[in-house]
Amino acid sequence: MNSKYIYFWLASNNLLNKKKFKLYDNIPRPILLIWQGKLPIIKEKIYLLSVLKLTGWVSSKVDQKIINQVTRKQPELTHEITCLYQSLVNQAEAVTTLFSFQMQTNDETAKELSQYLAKVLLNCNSESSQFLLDKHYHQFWYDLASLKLSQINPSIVLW
Amino acid sequence: MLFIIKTILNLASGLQFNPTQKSDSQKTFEKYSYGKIYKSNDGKCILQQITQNHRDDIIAIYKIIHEDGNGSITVKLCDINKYKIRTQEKILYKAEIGNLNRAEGLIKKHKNMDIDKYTHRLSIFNKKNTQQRSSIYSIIDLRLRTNSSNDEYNNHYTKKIFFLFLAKLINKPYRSNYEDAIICLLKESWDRKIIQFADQFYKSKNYPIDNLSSKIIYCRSKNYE
Repeated sequence: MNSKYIYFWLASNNLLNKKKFKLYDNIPRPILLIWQGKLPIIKEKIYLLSVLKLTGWVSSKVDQKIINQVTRKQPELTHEITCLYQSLVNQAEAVTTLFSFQMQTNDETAKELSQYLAKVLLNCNSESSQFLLDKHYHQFWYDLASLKLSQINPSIVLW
Repeated sequence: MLFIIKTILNLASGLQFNPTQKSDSQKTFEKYSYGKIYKSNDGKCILQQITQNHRDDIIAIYKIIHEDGNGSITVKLCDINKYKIRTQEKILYKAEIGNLNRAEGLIKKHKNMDIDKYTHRLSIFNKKNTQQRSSIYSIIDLRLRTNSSNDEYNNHYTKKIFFLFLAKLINKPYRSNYEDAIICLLKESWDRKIIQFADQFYKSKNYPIDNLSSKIIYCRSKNYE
């Protein structure tokens, strides 16, 4: 849910890019990094993959625009990875969450995991495009991310 | 003059191609090593043990060939723990290259492996004739490990159990026709019989054992056309 506010914050500041899916990492905290843009196989939708830090929020203001306070699934969790998409054709359509998980880890691991997920999103072939267009495949993304995470660091659990 | 140049060029190209062909054949030879061979009492079935060197999750492969048939039954024995790790790597790779449909299928397979309860996965393939691709017949999970923690020692015993079990299986009187024999072999209830056989084997050796158990994951029990 948190990243939705960030999406609207980006949109209100005209920072949303409608070109290629690309990495942006010079963004004010609590956002660690953002992958954002159009995917090669889906032309009519704009995607956002963000890594968000749940700790160290001094104030709820980012660049004078208010972002709502973070909701954590567990008190000890530190990072959130979220993927959102919105239709470019129909602007009235709501922003949909493709997947979203929280975990207790360090910045490096969160970045590595997000990098892997971005690669999967970018390389996805046209035969398996349903995984990018339907929010009901949340479980698949959760399984994939937890498998990758168990390869990087087996002690971390996804929420 | 031209002719001489042409022949030299031909020779040179031949020299270039020959070493690659050799290395390919050498590779396949290194991959598989053919072990023990057993012939049934009536001489109609042949059992062969094949060991693989390029995949560490496969413990052994057994092949049963009937005298008059061109098809065969292949039994593949895997260490389920290593197999699960291998499947995980495959899932991550398939997702990375963009084949998410395949990755989803493999995730289902990955979830289906219970490494706490079972130690080995047995896959039985059968092939009707030389033209047909070998298709999966059934998958069975087994708990065969003994209390000993030594992996090589355990693998040695499981290999031996399977060889003796299959040798016993092909010694039963079957009809002369190849297809009949294959049907009879496949219709045996493998899961229960292996457990019974392993239990007897370990008891005869006075070897300490856990609770042996089995579970059928998949079985194409119906019609063998």
